[in-house]
Amino acid sequence: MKDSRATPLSNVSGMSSQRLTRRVAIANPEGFHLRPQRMFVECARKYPNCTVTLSLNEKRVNGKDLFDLMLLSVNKGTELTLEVTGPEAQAAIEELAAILAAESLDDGTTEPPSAEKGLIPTGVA
Amino acid sequence: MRMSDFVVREAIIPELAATSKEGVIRELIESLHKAGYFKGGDLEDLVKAVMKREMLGSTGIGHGVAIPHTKHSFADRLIGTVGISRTGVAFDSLDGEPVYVFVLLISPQDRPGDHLRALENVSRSLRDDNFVRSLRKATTREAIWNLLEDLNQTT
Repeated sequence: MKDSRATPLSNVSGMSSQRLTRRVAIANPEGFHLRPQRMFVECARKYPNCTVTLSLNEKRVNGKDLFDLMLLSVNKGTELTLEVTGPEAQAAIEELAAILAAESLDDGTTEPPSAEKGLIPTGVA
Repeated sequence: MRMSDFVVREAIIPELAATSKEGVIRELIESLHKAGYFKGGDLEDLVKAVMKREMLGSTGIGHGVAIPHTKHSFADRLIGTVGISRTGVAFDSLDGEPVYVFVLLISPQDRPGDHLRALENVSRSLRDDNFVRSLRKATTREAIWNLLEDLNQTT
């Protein structure tokens, strides 16, 4: 994967490109199952200028590909590494982390992730 | 876990008659029933449970594949079946395309890990467009089962 510091993305809406990484534990008792996975993909695709990846140990998958996400097989309590690169990385990572950290999606409401989840900006173009 | 670990061979449908979402789900559940599962249970209750899950968001994952599923007390272990539609079924899929390959999964209430591993396995198998094409070309239950078995030997 290209380093965003070496290949700055185009400036969109006045925001500079950046690469953000956050570790988020899956809170849903059913694990990271198909419905939150689909929500995650649909959310990630709202950011066409961002790349989104999820990592678990040696597995690293495209966050915009549902078949990829299904390969992760993640139970409750497992921590994933979410990485977003692009001009809207900050907004995207907030939305995507909230989906991973939601305990339940059944009532249509999701709890936002706790304020501090170890945000690690690793580069600003 | 392999697809042949949870797919009930006798319940595979090489040519679905139904052309609607609910019709396909009912046909797959009835096929499992005919194969000896859910005896004494209310099949409509199972159909409703799977449809309720679909109402929360389609299980059409794109590439012509859907994985309708539910947890239900009728199941004491994860079981499933495969059905092929020749005409394609509108399923509100992620890519907006019709679904041709259905993998129905019925899980026990308390085994979310098995369900996640089944999803992983379905993805690993059906992300290969050539394999999906082969499934769609298969015309008999045996042919579909053999494809699933061959997959076990190559993965």
